[in-house]
This record gives sequence, structure tokens and C-alpha cells, in this order.
Amino acid sequence: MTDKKIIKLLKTNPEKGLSNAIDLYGGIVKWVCSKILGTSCTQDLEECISDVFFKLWKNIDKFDLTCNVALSSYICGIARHTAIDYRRKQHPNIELIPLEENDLGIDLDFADELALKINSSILQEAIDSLQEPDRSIFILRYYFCYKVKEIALTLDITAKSVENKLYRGKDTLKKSLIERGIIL
Amino acid sequence: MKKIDDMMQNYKLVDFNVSKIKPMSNEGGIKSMSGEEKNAILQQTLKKVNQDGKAYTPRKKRFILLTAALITIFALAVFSFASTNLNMNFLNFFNPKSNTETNMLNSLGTIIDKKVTQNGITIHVKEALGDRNSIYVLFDIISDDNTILSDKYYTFAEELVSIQSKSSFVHGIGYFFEQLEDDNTSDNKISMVLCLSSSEKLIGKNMTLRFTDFSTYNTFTDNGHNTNSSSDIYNLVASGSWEITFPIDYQDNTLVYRVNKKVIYEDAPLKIKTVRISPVSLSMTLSNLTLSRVNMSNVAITIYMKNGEAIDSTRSSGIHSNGFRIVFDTQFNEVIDPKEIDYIEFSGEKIQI
Repeated sequence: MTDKKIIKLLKTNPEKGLSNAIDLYGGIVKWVCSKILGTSCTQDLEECISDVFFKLWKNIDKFDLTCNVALSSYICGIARHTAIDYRRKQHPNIELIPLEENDLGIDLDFADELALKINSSILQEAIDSLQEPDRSIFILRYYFCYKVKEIALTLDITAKSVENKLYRGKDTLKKSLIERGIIL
Repeated sequence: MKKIDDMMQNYKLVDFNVSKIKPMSNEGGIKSMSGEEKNAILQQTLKKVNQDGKAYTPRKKRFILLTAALITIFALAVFSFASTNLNMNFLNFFNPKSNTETNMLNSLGTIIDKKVTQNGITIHVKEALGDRNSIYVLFDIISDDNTILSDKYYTFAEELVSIQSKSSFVHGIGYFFEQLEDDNTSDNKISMVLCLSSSEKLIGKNMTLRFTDFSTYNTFTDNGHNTNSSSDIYNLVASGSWEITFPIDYQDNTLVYRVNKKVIYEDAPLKIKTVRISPVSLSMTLSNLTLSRVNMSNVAITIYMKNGEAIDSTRSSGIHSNGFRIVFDTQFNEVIDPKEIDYIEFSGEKIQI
């Protein structure tokens, strides 16, 4: 089933659309949510996953097929921020990623509407211009909240190498963002 | 914003194939959701959708029909029996148990007889039967090149139904299709029924059916889950688009009762404003007396007949809500004579009819 068909079904026949969406993307959503939330509380995890598909249905009118983003990516984005919200409610005082590792050293403006548009575009370009496997490592760490050891196992490299690449990747990204005119 | 994980909220994940990531040894991997798990997630999600009130979704479920206190009979239509002789297979869809019940169904029906043909497939909309808020439409799908249609489950890749008056579309509709049992599996024809309900009055409006790509289901298993989630779920029988519009024009034999009774449903105060009953369905309009959302996904209604029979089995049910106004409807699995209803029970409250 194509993304286009799922989107149409979600708009016209939510039950059928959601059933197909869960069939196709349930596994990915579960994976994203469980990376962020953990798997110890099945009830919270299921609640979070169903929230993801509810938000997908609720916001499907906003999804633009012509902007060249796959539905799976859109769903991953919803899954990520939904799971992060859940986690912050569960553990308000525990950072998902340690602060020293999570600080880019520059303060990007995403509050103003114009700055949000420009900075989102620059951030996209800057991350996508990172060399592989640095880009994948960066995404696994900061998008999917993988632990360093998990990234090492996933990509068959040492944990030390992951740490080095993350350190260098952060530095490269910071320079790249400034070069591209990021609004601070 | 200084934190990288916060910034990543504005990053769109493109050209990143998550399915290629190897699962950790202590996790099930990406495609680890079982059929049971998928079903549980679907049910939870549909509850949230039904609570939201953005759209109306039919939910096939059993429910218990209840009692209520009737305050005023708002309007009372008189049945006109046997004005139309509907197709027997169509009538049997409603499980009539006597000639009286068959006559009752015929009194709700109308002949449509409209066809559209494309790429060797004809859609013949034959008859409709309904009441104020629900309609059932019988249509045949005929292969003009005499291809035998013998599969148990046919469908279209896209099935869209809209209802429009002269000036606007009706919002808040829910529908599904059922294929009738084929009495001749070696011919070129199958019959299907569209089951639709709405929070608005249907009679006097036009219905448009739009279908794309006549197909069979591909890899569905008994529990309704696709065995291969990455493959298409349809096998194309004939490509094309079919569109047909016809008027919804049958006699409205719905009995409407103004109730105006306050009830408590799951700690939420509601007021049942009106109850509408026909031989094939019941719908009720309620006011939400709180500012909070009311989850009516588990609503239970039982109809008690004057002969003591309690009817707790329905074909489907649905809820439409805009926050303050809630319309709940349910379609019966059997024919019910509204005049023989003693009372309805809703959330433990008896509504006398």
C-alpha cells in the first residue's frame, strides 16, 4: 500500500486507514518509542504508540506529499516527540542525553517564525552534509537517543570511535551552521 | 535553543533507512509487533479518534441496548407497508423473521437503478433502504467480459462516499461495505451493501460513490492482519474509476422522541435530547453538560421489547461529537418494530418509550 493510499484512507475511513498504517509502520513506531521510553512499562509504551497514530490521523491534513518527505519519516518524527514528551512526564528531572554531550555551544533561535523556517532549513542541510557514518551516528544519538554502546554495536565500530565521531560531528555541525548563516 | 536533542525536533528524517539498522540483542527489532499487539494499538487509537470528534467513525461492536424515560413523543410517522419490493438477498441482509418484518423493510426502501461502466466493469446501484440517519445501498459489480467473480472478498483500492445537499456537503458520516454471500460463484456478478450512518438527516440529499481500482485482498490472514506488511494489500482485478450519484429518496418512517433527560455516563453529566428509532437503527442526540470530553466508546444500550425480549446485538455503531453535541447511533442486526419497544436502557437509566 502506498503512502498516498494510506493518507486517503486516513481522511475518508479512519478505521481502515489506521489499521493499514499500524500494519505498515507499527513496528518502526514501536522501535522509536521503545528506544526513548524503554520497554519496562508496556502500558505506557502502548499508550504512547496509540498516541502517535492518533496524532498521525489528527494531523494528516498537514502532511504534504509533494514536499518529498516519506510518510515513514513523518511518522518517525511524531513518534520521537511523542515519546520524548512521555519520558519528560515520567522522569522530569532526568535528561535523556547528558547535558555536557547535548550542548552544541551556540544558542539557535527557533522561537521566531521566520527564524524557525530559516534555521530548520539550515539545520537540515548541515546535518545532511555530514559524511557517513558520522551522519548516521549523529542521527542515532540525537534523533533516536541511542546509547553510545548501542551505536557501536549497530554499526560494528568501537564505542571509542563513536565518541570521537560524535565529538567531531558536533564541532563540524557547529561550524557548518555558522557558515550557513544560522540565526542566533 | 542550545540542546541538540531539542534542535532535532526541527530535523526531517530523510534518506535514513531505519529498517537497515540491526536490532540489539535484547530487543525484538523493528518488525516485532505481533498481530495481537497491533489490534490492541488499533483499538486504543480508535477510542481516541472517537473521543476527538473530528470525524465520525463507524465501529463494529456488540452493545447492550437499554432503557430510558420518554418524556415527549416529538413526532410519530406512520408506516406505509410494502410500497416497494426489494431484492430478497438485500432484505435477508437485515435478517427478517416474518412477513411482517419483510414488509416493514420494504416500506423503508426505494429503487435506484443507476449504472456506470468503465474498463469492462459495471457498477449497478440497485436499491436503498434507510431512515433519517442511516442508509443501506445495494449495488452489483458486474464484469462485462464475463470474467467469473468468485472470490469471497472483493474491494476497491479507494472507496469514497459523500453526501451533499444543494448548498453543502454532509459532514460526520461513517460507512463501511459488506459483500453479500454470492448465490452463484460461477457468474460474473457480485453484490455489495454500503452501510452508512450520519449525524445529519440524509433524506432529500444526494449520495455520490467514487471507486478506484476494483481488486481482491492480497495477503490477509484470518485475524485481519497483513502477513507481509511491505507488500501491497490488493490484487488488481480491473483498474479504473467509477463515480455515480443518486438521490436519497425514501419514506422516512423514523419515530422521533424528545427525551430531555439528564443522565450520568462515566461520571459525566449528559442530557439525552432526542431518540430516533426505525426498524433498522437507533440514534440519539445528547448534550454534553461539562466542558470536558466524554469518552463514549464503551457506551452500552439495550432495547427492551414489550414481550420481554432484550436486544443487545447490533451490526455497528458510531459516535459523532463536536464537544457539546454528541450523536450516537447504532444499526440493528435484526428488524425491530419501534412500536413494540417498551423502553431503552442507556447507562443504567431507563428511557420509557
